[in-house]
Amino acid sequence: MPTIDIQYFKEDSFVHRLHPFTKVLFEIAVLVIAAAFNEPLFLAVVILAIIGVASLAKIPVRKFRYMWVLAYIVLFMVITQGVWFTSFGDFGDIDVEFEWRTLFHLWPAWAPGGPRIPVILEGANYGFSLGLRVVAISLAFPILVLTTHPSDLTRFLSQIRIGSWRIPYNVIFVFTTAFRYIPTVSREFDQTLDAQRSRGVNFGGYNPIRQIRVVMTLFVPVLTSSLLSAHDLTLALETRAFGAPTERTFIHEVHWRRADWGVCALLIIIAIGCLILANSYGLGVLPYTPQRNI
Amino acid sequence: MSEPVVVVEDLTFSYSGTKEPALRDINLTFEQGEIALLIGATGAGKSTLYMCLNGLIPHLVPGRVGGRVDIDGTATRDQSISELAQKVGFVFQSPDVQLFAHTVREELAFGPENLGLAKSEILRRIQLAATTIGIEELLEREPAYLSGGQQQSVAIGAIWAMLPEILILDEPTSNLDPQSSRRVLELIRALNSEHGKTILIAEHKIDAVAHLADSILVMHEGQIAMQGKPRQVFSQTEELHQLGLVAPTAAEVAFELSKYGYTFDSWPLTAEEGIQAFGELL
Amino acid sequence: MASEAIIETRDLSYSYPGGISALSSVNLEIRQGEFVAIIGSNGSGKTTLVKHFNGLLKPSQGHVMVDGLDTRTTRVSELSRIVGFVFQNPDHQIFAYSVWEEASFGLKLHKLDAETVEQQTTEALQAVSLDELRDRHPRALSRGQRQRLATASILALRTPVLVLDEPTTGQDFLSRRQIMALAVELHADGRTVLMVTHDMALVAEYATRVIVMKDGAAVCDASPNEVFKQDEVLKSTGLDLPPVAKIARGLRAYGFSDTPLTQTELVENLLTAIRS
Repeated sequence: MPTIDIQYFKEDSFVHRLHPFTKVLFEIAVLVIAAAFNEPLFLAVVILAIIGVASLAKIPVRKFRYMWVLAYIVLFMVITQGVWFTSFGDFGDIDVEFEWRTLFHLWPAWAPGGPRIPVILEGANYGFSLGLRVVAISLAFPILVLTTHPSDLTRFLSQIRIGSWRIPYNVIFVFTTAFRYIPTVSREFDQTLDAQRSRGVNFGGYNPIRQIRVVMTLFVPVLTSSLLSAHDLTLALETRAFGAPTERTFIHEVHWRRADWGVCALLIIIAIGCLILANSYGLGVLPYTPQRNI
Repeated sequence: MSEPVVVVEDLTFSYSGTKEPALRDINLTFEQGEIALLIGATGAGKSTLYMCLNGLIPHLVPGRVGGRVDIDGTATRDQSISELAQKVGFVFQSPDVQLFAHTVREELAFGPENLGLAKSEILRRIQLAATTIGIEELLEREPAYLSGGQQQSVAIGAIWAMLPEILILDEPTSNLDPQSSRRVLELIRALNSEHGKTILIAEHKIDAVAHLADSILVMHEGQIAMQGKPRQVFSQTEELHQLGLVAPTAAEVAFELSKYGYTFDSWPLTAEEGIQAFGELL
Repeated sequence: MASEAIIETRDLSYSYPGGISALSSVNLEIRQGEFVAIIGSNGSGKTTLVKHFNGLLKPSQGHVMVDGLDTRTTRVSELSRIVGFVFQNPDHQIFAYSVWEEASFGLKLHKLDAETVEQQTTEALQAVSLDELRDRHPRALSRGQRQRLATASILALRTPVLVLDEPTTGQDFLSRRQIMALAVELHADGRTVLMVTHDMALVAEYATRVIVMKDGAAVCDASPNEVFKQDEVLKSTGLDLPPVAKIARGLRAYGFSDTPLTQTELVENLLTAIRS
């Protein structure tokens, strides 16, 4: 079953040892750079760089397996932009000599009647670049959670201060504890699956209406027992003085190393560099970029 | 044994939205350093009683309370849950639910951290709990991936780090295999005999725990139906049967034999005592 | 007619994905009408073994034959007509909004006609004394009643084999007795009952045959009394003698020679011994 697996992945790597802040900065840098470029080639380089970081973190490929969904998103972008790009974009001072090239028609020439629906090469290309942006961001974001021990993440989030405001500890607790219960819930899921199969429930049939009912036999018990465990959990938390009125102590420390300075500086330089390249020199930006996005 | 650490007087409790009280006229005391065994059928009110002892009732669980519960000389309603958490430790039946940290070390630190203790004190308590419970080698492991017996030990350790005087354990061995059960019960006995903690334990496996107890409490339909020393309670086998409960095997056999006129100086509870007592008859 | 093997494992080995071996070369024959206890510490492979009996797990090597069907090539839904599996935690299966709906669900899956569904469901609910509560929502039942409901939903299928996974764990004395009385009744009815358990008193009292699992192998397969004699097996698997057997064994020093399995037998044996 293709599941989204974004649990912390234990490994000793350069990326794992980085401070959570550095990794957050990395994700911000990816956002900025992916937004700056829209030339597919440039974005491909960005994606390759992210894959480089992931392999530096020794993240196994299977953790990204669910990303095949992105292929559909890219395809969707290519087709929709290919068809509608020219009709909605405001292209400002685009060269008057410029001509849209038709890649093919959705409605083939030999078929009778109807609008031919041309797919424009430039539009498809632009759609492709939008898709690649999504790919880049989707690849980069799990890296923080995959390579940061939840304890480090908890501590880091508890240290964030904006003026006198801090993220409330119970919010952080809910966020990081959710990861802790992944194995528990998946165990419950397996047990429910076994129990239902044992009394003849057939998972993976072809009748969609039947399948809805079949899924309910899994969904209801898992949800119910999760809610019941959540109830016990709140009681268990109370007996461990959760939410005591005193200021909470954290014994866990997250370490800021010299490498973090280096990586952060590098990320800032690259991000600013890319912004300058794109905005001042137009590098990595398609000549027919719409002024306003549609 | 001297001071009563827990005094319950005329305690009655009904959950909000229900008419039938879940607890009725409970009166009991626990002496410092005793092990009390709580037995009763499912639904007899055992869990409600624990919640009254650790302050979840009346602070968290809505309902009508009558009477009073004193812990350490002060009524629970005058103490906050976090204050009570340092006096009454509660270990849940299912170990998986009550472990929420990502490492055993943090599990042990969790309670003291919430209390805002100094870092050095928390580190000392982690060390103390780990050595007392015997889980030093598990400190860096992930609780979700430990065996049931190890999880239960960690759960006890996490409570131990709060340094409570009183420990309540709700069927601590029900999900464990015999070997792990023995270890956990052995640990509980040591916590009592070596560290003088007052312990309240609920169990269905009477044969395994009867010999640990200093006193027995029998609950039935929200009331204390029987109360006393193990030998005294377990010799009233007929009454136990009426409540849908049983005595340890040796006591049950002694009861059957007593129907034929055989008498026992000391009512046997464990297999060893049974061997002794029945051997003498042979 | 000699009782036939209804479940047979041939050189059954199983490794979990990731390569951890859970069963190695298990050869067993479960005959019709047996009451088998499968015991062993946690992680010994007993649950993995029984999950092969209805095809939830498929052998990595070797074969499991259930009523002549190879589990490798037979669907679980097909095998569920032969082997009924009652799990330890009823909350992992209960999903319906009424007791009746829950208990009849499996029968409806088997596409039986309404009359048969009604009849078999009613009978199963009566067997666990829940027929009166058939319109209740399962959440409104107590834990013990939910356990019985889960049992009824399997009973309704009228499978010739029943697997009970730790039937008494966490149950109080009365529920324990109810569940076991039902198992005895079904066994007397000619069904094959297999139970996975830690409760040695249960083993002594009810099983006609005991299979001891250790490190993925069946290390001992004999009658309860035979198994209780084998100190090394018990010790190496971390299992205790049940209290009755323990007392009987200790009494040997006093010239007691019987090997009772139940409390009643022990009392009877003791009375005879004392009187003679």
